[in-house]
Amino acid sequence: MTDRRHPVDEALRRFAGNPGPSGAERQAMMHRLNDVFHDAGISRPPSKTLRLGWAMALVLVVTGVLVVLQLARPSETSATMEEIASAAEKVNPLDMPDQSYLYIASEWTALAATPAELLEETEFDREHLYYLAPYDREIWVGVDGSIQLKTTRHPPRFFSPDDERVYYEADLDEWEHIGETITETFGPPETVETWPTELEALDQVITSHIAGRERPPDVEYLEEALNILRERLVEPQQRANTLRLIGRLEDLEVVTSDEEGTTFAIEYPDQGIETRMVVTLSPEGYLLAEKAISLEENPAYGIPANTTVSSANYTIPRVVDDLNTP
Amino acid sequence: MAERHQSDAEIIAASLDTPEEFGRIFERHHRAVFRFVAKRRPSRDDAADLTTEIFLRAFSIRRRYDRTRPECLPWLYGIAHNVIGDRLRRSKRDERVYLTAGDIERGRDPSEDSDSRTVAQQASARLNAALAKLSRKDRETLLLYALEGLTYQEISRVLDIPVGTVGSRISRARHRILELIPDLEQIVR
Repeated sequence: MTDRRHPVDEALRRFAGNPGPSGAERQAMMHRLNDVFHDAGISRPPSKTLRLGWAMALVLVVTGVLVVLQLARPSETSATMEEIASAAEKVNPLDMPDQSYLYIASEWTALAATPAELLEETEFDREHLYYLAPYDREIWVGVDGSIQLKTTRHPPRFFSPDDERVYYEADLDEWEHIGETITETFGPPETVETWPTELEALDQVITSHIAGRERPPDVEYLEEALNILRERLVEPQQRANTLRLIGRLEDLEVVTSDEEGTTFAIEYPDQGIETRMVVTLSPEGYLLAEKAISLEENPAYGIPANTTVSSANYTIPRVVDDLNTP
Repeated sequence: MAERHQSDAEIIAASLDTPEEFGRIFERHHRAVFRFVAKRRPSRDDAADLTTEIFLRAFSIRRRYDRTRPECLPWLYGIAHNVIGDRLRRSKRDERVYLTAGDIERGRDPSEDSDSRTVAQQASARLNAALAKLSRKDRETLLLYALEGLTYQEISRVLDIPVGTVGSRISRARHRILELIPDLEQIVR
């Protein structure tokens, strides 16, 4: 399978060598890149804590004690999130003995885009074919961070009969292994991403990570905070403080809350299209579901208004003894 | 004591807190990425510009780098593949390959021409023509294997295709080139 002495390969190596960059080209590239690396290092905005501090000071000066009292009364979102965070704190930490795994099952739908060039002989006049790709996934995370991932892809959902025809004519279902279950394993990572537990330290790290991102800060902050909660072993205190920080987001609103869980939403423009991100937490603060809804029609993608363009539903994490046990 | 060699994955992880660290990834791999681009673009200016864009894109998505992979060159090739594809779609150009052995030679004094250089130029031109007749998928797979030296598994990740498909594309591409250049074995001998 790996015969590198094939005459075609030899010919390519011998007669198709390309020169590397000259010194001047290298310097020009490095100059442009260094500017960006440098800016990324110094352009992190002041921490959210600091910004809040300035904002509060200003409010105090302008409107006096009355506003202080108003600030002391938490918003509905932060009050609801505080309730969940308090419950999260009381959950017993998951005990993970050696040779055990954290197990989470989930159902996903993602917006997929296949470049037109991959549809080679199929008639298609847009740059990408867009469709919704559903799949199920199970993840086992070992004590050492190693991972087993089992993914089953299901037939896509299309935005038009024409898109569906193009998809199957180009044999994309074979290419994407529709109907198959694929199991992958990954060894322990060389470096493990860790997050602080203390509230303000966690806030600072999240804030520094989202610097320079494109979407509105509250949306990026929520996305980054959810990263801490997704498919990971999270200590109760860290989960609780992550939820408290989410509760500080001004644009986040409570949609529903009952004994099954609480759903929050935030609306924002995503590449000019009004979008709604919806997140559901269990009463103990476990992430149960998240989705993004395109509220407006996206003509460039052929997506109608009010389409759920991505979603995920998770089971509550639990510890299992082996890689065969769901 | 010799300094421990840091893997690409470790440097990328360090660059999350210290962005300037990513410059070391550029130092390690910019020549390979530049050559990868130059084979697929018509001008050197374009190649330098695209190489910069590839490293900028890599920098912006470095948080998503799979840190279980110590070497990041296949990841950079995957980004390069997408960046070049985007540029091609934007420019609506016919896609071609630009193997520049002939170009290197073209800059020389004609009086320096030797038989061996002429043979190399001719072989390069014939290879260019043959590669241009392959489908993009087959050509890209063969070039990643024969010129970039990636393994089947690495190509599978770069192009997001099964390993078996890598093998069948390489086999088909070689077969087609041998059909188009029947005397290839004599040329490389």
